[in-house]
Amino acid sequence: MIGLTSRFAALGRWSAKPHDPSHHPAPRLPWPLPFAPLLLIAGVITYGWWRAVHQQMAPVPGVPGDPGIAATIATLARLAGNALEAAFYVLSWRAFGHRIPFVRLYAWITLLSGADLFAFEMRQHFLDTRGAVPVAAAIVSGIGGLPGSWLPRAFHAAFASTGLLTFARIAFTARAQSLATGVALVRTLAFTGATWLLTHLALGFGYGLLQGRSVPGLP
Amino acid sequence: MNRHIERMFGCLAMSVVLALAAGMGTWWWIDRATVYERPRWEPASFEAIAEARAARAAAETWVVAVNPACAHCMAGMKALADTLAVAPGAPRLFALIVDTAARPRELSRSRSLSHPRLDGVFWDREGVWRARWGHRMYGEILRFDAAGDWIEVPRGG
Repeated sequence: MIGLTSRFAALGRWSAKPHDPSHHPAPRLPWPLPFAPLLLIAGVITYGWWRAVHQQMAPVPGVPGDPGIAATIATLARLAGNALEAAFYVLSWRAFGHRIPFVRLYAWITLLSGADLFAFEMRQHFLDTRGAVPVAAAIVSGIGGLPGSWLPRAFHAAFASTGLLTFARIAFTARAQSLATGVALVRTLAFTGATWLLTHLALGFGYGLLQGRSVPGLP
Repeated sequence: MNRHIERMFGCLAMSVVLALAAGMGTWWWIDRATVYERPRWEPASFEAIAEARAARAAAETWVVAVNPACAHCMAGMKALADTLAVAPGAPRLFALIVDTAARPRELSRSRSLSHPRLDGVFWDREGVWRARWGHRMYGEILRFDAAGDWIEVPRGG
């Protein structure tokens, strides 16, 4: 596998000589924004996630538990998920002989999660106001807003975010890796897209196993 | 860090993602290939733990699978019992307590299980719901016709 990764790394690299930064300046990932706006926007997005989860967890009569605490845990889990995603790309590109600064990629991924938040809020807006998400809005915000699809229920839930906004997030995540490594965008896009597909497939399999033959909800 | 060790960690990260997807996929495929029994409502298969009220004639029987440790599904069942009409033709409603190793006690203290709209409470001692029917989600509602045959609800998976 290491041999394969070396060959993959050499393809599409800016520098003609792998591991020789003397010919070209080493590709470097810039911060997505200056530091102060970065912190501000990351804070707004994190609060947005907290608020979104909090609204989803409206207290159910008879069920103990504080929605605030649950929303805080869910938000921390999301931040941890962003860190895990960044760590995965950092480690993977090291296998290809490239170095990506973890904190900068984490900042990119956290900011890009704003696209997911926007998609989520868009779906919720239509569900709250119209009771359904129009197809045009679902194409942008994700198929999760539609009542169903040709996909089995578990996979419809796992791929709920599939829409133009998610594709944009994947493209910008790939762009960040391309800037950091110097590898052609088409390759980083293939790698990021494949990672997204595999993790969401695993999620769909997990949902399917949790569901078993059950048919949830009111008939 | 040594470049070879870095590469090894990188390969390990990618292998974990690949193995996760492949492993989950295999497990899911095996589960989907397993043939489970079609659910059938036969009260004799379960242990009645709350006296059934006077039998009501109804076209359908609804059975809610609940676990006393799941506060959310218990609340959901109570909400369903609150909502269901008692008019003639309304379904009979039973609670089926699942995934509980010991016989549930102190049921009289549980508001959800002593709901007046419930026609009875049963304990799935043998694990029929999970092991033989292949069902897994607490709070699901199983619909049966008057003869006890399962009414399948198409939900896309």
